Amino acid sequence: MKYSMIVDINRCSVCYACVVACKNEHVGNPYPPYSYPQPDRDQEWIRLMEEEKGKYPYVKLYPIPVLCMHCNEAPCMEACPIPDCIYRTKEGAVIIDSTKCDGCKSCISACPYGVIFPNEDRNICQKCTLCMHRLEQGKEPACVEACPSGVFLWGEESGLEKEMKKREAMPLYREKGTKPRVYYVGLPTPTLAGHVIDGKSLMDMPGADVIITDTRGSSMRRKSNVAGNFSLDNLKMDTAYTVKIEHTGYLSKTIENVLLDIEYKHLGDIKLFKAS
Amino acid sequence: MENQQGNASQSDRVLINAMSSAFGSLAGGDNLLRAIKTEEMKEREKERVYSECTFGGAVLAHVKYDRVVKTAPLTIPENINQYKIEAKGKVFEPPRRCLMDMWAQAYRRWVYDTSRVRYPLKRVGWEPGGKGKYDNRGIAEFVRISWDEALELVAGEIKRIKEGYGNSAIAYLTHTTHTTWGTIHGMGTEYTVVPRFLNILGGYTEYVPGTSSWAGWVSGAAFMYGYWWANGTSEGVDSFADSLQNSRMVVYWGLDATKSTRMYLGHESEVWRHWVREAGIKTVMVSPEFNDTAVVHADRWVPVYPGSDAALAAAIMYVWVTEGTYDKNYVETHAVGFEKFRDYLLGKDDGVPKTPQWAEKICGVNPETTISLAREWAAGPTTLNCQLGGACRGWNGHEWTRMMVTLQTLQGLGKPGVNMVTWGTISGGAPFDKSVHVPGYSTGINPAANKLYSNPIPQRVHTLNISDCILKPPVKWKGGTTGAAYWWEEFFREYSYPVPGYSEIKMILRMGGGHFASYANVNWRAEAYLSPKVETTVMTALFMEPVMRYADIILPACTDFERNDYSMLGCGGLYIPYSGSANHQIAIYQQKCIEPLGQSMSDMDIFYHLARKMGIEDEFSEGNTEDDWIRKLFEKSTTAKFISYEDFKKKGHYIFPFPEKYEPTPPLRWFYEKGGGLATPSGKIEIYSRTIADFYGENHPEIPPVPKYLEPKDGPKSPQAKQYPLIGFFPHPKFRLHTMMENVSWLRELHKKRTDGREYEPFWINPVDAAARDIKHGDIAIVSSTKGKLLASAFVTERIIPGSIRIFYGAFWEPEDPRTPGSLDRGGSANVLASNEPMSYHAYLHRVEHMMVQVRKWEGQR
Ligand code: SF4
Ligand code: SF4
Ligand code: SF4
Repeated sequence: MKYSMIVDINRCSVCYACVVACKNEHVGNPYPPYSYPQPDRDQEWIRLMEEEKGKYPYVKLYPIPVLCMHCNEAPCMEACPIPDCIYRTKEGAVIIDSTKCDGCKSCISACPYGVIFPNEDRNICQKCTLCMHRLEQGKEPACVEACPSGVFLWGEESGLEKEMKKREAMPLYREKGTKPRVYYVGLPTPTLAGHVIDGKSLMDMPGADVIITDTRGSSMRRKSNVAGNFSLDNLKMDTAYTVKIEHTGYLSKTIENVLLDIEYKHLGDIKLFKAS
Repeated sequence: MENQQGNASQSDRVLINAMSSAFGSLAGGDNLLRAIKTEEMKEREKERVYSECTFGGAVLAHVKYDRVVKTAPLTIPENINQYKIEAKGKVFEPPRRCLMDMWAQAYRRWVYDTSRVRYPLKRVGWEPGGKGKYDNRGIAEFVRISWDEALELVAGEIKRIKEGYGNSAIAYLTHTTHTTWGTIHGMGTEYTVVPRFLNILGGYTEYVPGTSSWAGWVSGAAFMYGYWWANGTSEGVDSFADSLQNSRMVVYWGLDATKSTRMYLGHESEVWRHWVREAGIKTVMVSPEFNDTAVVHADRWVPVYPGSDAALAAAIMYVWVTEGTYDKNYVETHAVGFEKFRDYLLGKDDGVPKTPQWAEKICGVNPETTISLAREWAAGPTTLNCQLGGACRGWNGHEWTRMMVTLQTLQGLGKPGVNMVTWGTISGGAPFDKSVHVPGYSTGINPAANKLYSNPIPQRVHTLNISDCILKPPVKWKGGTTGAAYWWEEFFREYSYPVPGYSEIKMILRMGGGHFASYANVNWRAEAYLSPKVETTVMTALFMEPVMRYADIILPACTDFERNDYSMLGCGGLYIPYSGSANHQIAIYQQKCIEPLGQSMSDMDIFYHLARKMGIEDEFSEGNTEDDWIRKLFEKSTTAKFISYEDFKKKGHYIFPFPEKYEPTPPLRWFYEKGGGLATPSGKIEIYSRTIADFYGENHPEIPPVPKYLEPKDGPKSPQAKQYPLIGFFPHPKFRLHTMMENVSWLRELHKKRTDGREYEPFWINPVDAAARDIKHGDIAIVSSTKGKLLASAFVTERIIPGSIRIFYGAFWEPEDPRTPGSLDRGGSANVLASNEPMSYHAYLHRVEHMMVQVRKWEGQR
């Protein structure tokens, strides 16, 4: 049975419970045959990458928990010169066998995610084990259990597939092509956002239709949310967009030539006025 | 000083080596080690699980080889009924486990930190009888002594000081900085055991720590609606379901709920904030920083200059009043003095209408945003989430809290969906079985004692003047409430030090950590300890924290894991009578799971030994052992109705099932229905406070009878702003609790900047302000104020309003020269910069959140 996880960073409140939970689970504790103890510091098997985008006062923080992706096509495995040192368990975890590893660090340079750490005292390389020792006891990984915000959706790979499709979950650094088992929802992409308000009352306008069109004529559409906010992601940098906002009973508004020059561009308050 | 680098201790290393060689052998197929294992080793190898409660919430401690190897969440079995909330067509149910935060996850690392004080210590050069040398206080040269010698010395000094100067010469300093969690030990000892010990001996000079987390609430809001006993924060239980069902909007104002509500509880309330979003309720964050709560829980961030929030509140209400969108009927029937406040808003008294344009000049908020926020607020029931830390601890914090109460009063506080809360910590919020009572730290052992002792000594010192009292008496002041359980008269009472006929302080007895870094003006605080006038300073300590360097004798205490106790998750007793901020009501027998490290012992044990030496053991203990106290407290609590003491001890916790039939009592609904009955002279909400007017007059510049925005005396328009043009604000820290856990390497490495072999505390600065000073992300900068200077590392971010910097307080103070007040602090302890001036003439309380500062790139010049 192979496991997978979806990490919904839209829910992450930057609390670091997952990061410290991994230390709590692993520092000083060996879990044979999967891991030697994690050292007291300098190894973060899971880290929180705080990606800040936007310009004051329209800021967006993407807190991205980064652990080993347990890649299906793992460059670390290919790079390791010792036979069977890095192997895959039937649960899908990529494990470095600490009894075979001689600390040559080939895997460290091969891994695109920066999740392998040298242990100079023991001459080994160490990383996340997907908490294999816990999986064997029928438990979730420690970081997953620790999250108070429901960021991690954990389970059997096949059971998660539908959810992955529905939520357009993506690997981090997809271009690396390593086929990770960890998928993300809400990764930073070039985004255009704004706040639609009634020009007279200045109150939020939920349910407004926002249509953006690029120079080649392809367009995207979203509705503003309960607070009048909209956000369109997966756009192209340095592209000029035309933004049109419509709402029944209101004159529609078009903003031409919005150049996506920063990754999170916010148009501020956009006022719509009643048609009459 | 012991090694504070946070490496694994010697014993850690031995253990790790032992375990990993065992692992190596097994994995390598070598059975030798297995074969020679003795029965005893097998026994020790078995993992045992103990119930614990920590200041980061409830946990299960896993113990192997006599060491805590892990803390894990306490889980709630499926067969135990828990609350469900139906709202907006959805059903919300909490997870069946306690939600541990980073502190609870790092607890074992903290327990075993190498900076633990393991033996009694005596400062080199100190002599009993006031005969020693004092010129190395602060430098921390200590020798190890035996417990017997330490107790002999302490008892001898107490006797000598008492006989020579009288009891008032002994000061007991405790700081509500949360040493360890407990009812009879730790915080419980701070609150009840030590005072009992000293009172039996004839009393002592009381030290008033003052609340720093709710200062504005008790000195402001409480005058409007009572709730003195709750630090001026109103009711919270059942607010959450009501908001979820009936609120249209939730406003977070002046606090970072996600970060600050973890104290005592971990992340119990974090799920609620997620539910608010899931229920489709819109959310707003008003704060100088785009804080963690804003990251995920705010549809809109309204940045304001630190300390200017009251102006924004006034402008919002100006909009309501001029547009007629406030609840006129409610205001007429439930409040007094609105007309005077309306006159203030409309500028009838000072000629300045408090328009959104007026507010913009003060708080920096675009008038259209203010109008928009005002109209959204008035468009339907709105919950205001504001009652913890942040703006209430800063400039004129009481005016801000009164503005907050007035905002909700104008919208009908207590009506369905119109709540004022924190959701977390003392406010509560969850559905909660009110028939459950379990004692907490604030009443400590008292409910179990046959006889209670009070302090006959009238002399006291206050946290805002302690150093002045010691260094340059006499000192006079007015007011001096600690917050909890105090009444309004407290604010008007006058004090002086020394009280005629009573000796000045000659001996300081201290308990708890964080005296320096948790409270304002560290340099000034440390200066008092250098004075030879204080002949003896005795501190009980867990860790070799900065303040310990100033001790003459250090008595090593142990952590929660090293002794037994009885408590309830998130419940402090008295002023936190409920644990209504937890998702489950859990009584916990805090099981001793490891032996005290080194020669440390429990807080209570230390005072048992001292009582014996002083010949007051019988009165002190009433013949009770630790177990007797716990059992007696247990028998007086609701838990005893459901489980026997023996079973409870063995199991370690008891989870109260949520009642099948539950009648929620949303906060202040009774008041909404009745229109009176609050603990104010009129029983109504007093927008105009006659109490304040009678005492201070109609026009006091620092405390008007109706709430007003007041320009801070030493704020951005004061003369000192020329030299210190940035507004510094110093909120509750994220990676530590006050100063607690600051020593934990696991947490330090998450936020400190490591460079040239040191770790620097980060500070937030907007790119605009950083560029103006040629400061880049990660640069070390010197931050200064009129009170001191420190080094910190620049975290350049768009998440903070320009013109302002943020440093979390509580980093360990590391002065270059601990004996020279004002020397450069390399630890980045923000309270080096903060002022110990009281909040106002009215409120003799902390205003540590705000201070004008300057920032300059550090290139080695001081
Ligand atoms: S993330 Fe790195 S370490 Fe993990 S499997 Fe992929 S390549 Fe290997
Ligand atoms: S799965 Fe386990 S080892 Fe991997 S990051 Fe999470 S807690 Fe650490
Ligand atoms: S525990 Fe969850 S909410 Fe907290 S930082 Fe990790 S992923 Fe984010």
